[in-house]
Amino acid sequence: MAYLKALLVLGLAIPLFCNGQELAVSDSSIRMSDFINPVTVVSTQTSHRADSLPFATSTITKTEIQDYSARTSDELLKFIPGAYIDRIWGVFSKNSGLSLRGLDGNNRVLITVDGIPLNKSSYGMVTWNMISPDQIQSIEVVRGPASSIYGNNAMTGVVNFTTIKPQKPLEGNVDFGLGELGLRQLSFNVGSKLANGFYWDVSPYYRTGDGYIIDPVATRDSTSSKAYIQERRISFRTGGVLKSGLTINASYTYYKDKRGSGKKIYLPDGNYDSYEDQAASVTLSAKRAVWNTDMHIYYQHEYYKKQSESINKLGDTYKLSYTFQNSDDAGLWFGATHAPTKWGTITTGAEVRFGRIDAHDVYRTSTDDILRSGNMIAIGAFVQEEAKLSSRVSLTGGLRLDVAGFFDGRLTVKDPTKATGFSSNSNQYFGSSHWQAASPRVGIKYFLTKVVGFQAAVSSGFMPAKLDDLCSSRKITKGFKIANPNLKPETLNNVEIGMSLKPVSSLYIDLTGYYSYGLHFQYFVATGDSIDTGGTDVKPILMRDNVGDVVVKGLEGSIRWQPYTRWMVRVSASTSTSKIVKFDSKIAATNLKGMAISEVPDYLASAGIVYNGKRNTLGITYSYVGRQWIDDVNTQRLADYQTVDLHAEHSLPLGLKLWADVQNLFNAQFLDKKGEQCPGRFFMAGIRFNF
Amino acid sequence: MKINAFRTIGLLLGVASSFLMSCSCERTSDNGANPTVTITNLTAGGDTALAPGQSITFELACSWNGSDALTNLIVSSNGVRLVDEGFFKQTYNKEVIFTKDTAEQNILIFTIRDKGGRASQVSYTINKAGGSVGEVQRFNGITIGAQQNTTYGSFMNLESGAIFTKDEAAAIPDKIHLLCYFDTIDADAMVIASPGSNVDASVYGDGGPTDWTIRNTARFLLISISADQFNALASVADLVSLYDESAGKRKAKNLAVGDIYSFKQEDLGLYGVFRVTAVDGQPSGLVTVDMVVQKTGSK
Repeated sequence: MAYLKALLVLGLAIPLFCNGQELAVSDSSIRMSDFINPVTVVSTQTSHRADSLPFATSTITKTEIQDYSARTSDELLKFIPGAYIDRIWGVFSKNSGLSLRGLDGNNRVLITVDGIPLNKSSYGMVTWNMISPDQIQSIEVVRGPASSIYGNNAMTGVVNFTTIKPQKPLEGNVDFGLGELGLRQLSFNVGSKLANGFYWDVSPYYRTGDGYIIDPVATRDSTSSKAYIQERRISFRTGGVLKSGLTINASYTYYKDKRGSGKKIYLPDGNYDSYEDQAASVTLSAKRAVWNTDMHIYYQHEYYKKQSESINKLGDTYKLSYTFQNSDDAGLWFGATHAPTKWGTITTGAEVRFGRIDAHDVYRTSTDDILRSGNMIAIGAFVQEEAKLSSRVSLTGGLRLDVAGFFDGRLTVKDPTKATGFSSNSNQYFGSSHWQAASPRVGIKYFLTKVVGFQAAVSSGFMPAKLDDLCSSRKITKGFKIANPNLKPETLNNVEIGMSLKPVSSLYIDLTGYYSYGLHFQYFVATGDSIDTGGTDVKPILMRDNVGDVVVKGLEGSIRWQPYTRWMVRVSASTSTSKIVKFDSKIAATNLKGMAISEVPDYLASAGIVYNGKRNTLGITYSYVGRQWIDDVNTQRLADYQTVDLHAEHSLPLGLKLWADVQNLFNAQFLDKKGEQCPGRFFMAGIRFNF
Repeated sequence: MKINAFRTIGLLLGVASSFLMSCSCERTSDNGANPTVTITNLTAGGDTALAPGQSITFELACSWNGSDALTNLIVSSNGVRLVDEGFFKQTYNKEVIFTKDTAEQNILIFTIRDKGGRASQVSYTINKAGGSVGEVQRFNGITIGAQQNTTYGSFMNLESGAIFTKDEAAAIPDKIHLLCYFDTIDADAMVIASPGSNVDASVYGDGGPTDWTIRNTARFLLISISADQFNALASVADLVSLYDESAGKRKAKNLAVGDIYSFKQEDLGLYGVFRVTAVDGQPSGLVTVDMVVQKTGSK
């Protein structure tokens, strides 16, 4: 039924798109400089044109965000050279992952919204749908380590979403969309900029979808069911000028979802994951004499619930369990930039970050009861100097020092049975541990001519251990995971050189090559032991360990071209190779020296064309994802795949706009690392009212 | 836009927000009542006296609270679980045969749990009676073939010591208590197990235990006694004393000549011990055992 509705909407939309008369709408032409050489802040916490920076950066503009097909905020990151978005199930994906520069995992990339971190200390994931694509002004990305400013997580890069603030006394939109697989979504956004300079906006959002069966046809059985979604979000923002030179921005976002995992036995909703997130933040910005200061205070709480049911092959052993997990992240970030002097521009700051996990695994078909908890605190301070050595040469250097501690880690097991594999009651206290990190970064930019520039940088980044790895022992998909309270952060030391080329004002080309050496690399390894959890087969025991050193080498390039005022073309490509060069894990049963790092494609490419007309817009996206190993001993490899997406909009009178979206136009079929399939071609259409 | 538009949009937003915040992704029902478990053939809380090896049958009837399904039945003796089953049912009836061990007193607790985590339980006490009850029988030189052995069957009845082929066993699954196979999936090599031990379907193929509706279960425990001690086993009390309820495994794996296992057939409540005397470890191989097992009908 939903499919028919969507076709009806598209049927109405296409004739209008093709034959409609020019109507009075606001001018939507694109400022060339915003696309070709945008202003970016995330790299150094100071404003610069992208081509003047010694560090690899990318920016996706508001126009592209609106005109490309992207149902979630992270999908847009595929245009970033070296970025891999693991979202095989499309909007139905439960945990999308972002990898940068040949190392997998969200925890290795710092994700922020207006400078507020979204990464969770508990298990490193980011709830991408906390971010409304409608509110994004731009996406700024630093490729390569940036811990010299950002500390934790900024190991392979930083992604910052900047958001749009209301500019009119009243503005907003209502958007309704229908898609295949029973997808329905509705969103509102209303805001106002008041006469006193303050603004506010409220944005509720709702999306539900019946989903599809993720098991390939060949492996389906009676327990295969649809991976459905139900999600809703509401955000409140306000802010303004408190007094001359002092502004405040505050936000609160509530998000809740429920996502089927594709298996159902007795319970009507089957296996599912449910995230309930709340995030609140306050940012104070002050301009006083020669100092510009920013202070972020933030708090993020997540309540995660997982329902898991399974039945053995014989059909006579049923298991039902729940996970209830609370995690909290809070922090204070302070940064100050001194106005440029003859010595350059100095930026300094400090940060305190706290993380906590408190989880409870409870079994209903046995008596197992597992409690796991732990806390982490990190304190860091940084200083950065940007010096302009001549009209052609600029030098940027910085250093950040961090100290962090893990404390009150506990694992309590009550009344265990073979369902979990624990042999007896236990109450483990992991004590406390701490570590330090020094993260330098130095970069130089040299303009040979106005057309050609070169840059070189040396930088260091680190990723702390996740609380889940430090204090959680539990069954996971691959086997049985054991807590490792001795897990240390991993460090990535990076050298990169690059060049920028701007032969004409409408064309920008950049190329970067990097060599990264990772120390104390964190990797999931099999201990060689196994455990009987009551099933047909024993489960391998796994542990996250600092296994040794890795080398990652790569090449990234991108082209931005604006042939006409209303046309934008973007091409990105990258390749990376990785190898474990030193393996000294005392836990792992297999020596992985010489192996490539798993779950990272060897090649990535994307291309996009946007036509942003007065009444009609069109965005075409091509994406290629290369092969990737999916096991640590490099015996299983996923095939490469490519997709083409389309997004079209047509403006009608009275602020109405029809839109249509086709993802995976040629219905490419590919699998994820668990052997689960993509939804194939996916069509969606809707109507939007702007006021 | 005029002020009325503000009001309209505000109203719209308010309604939408209320809708979004109030619609729940999950519906839970909780009437607060516990599930129930009763012993229908005996008086809950009562007691009796049995000699080691002597059995008693409990007829259990469990019922849900009207909202949350039953998910777990646990029967324990002195804290050691004899039964621990997971399921999803509104009512559940179970016959439990308890065979007295050597403890002076066994406190049996029957616990039913539901999806909501609620539980109910009843108990029954069994004291140790004097004297010896029951007889044992000895099967020497029993040869059980692995799954591809064309000379010896792979399935055994403990009451008679008879060996059956797969086709014969499939016709009488309730009479099959042990089976033998050579494992290549988990490197368990030669295995003696029971039909209820989750043997992979590929081992016996079509018509194997995975296709049976009745699958009896036995548990095994590798023990350290000498061949002379094994040969001296003569009473049910001897067999009972060699088995530990809390340590029994569903498979006797990697069998080697000289291994001695005690076991308990759970459906009949029979104790036994076998000693491996020959092994030919391959899918068409065999295991030869000497076995002492409690006689049925003599308790």
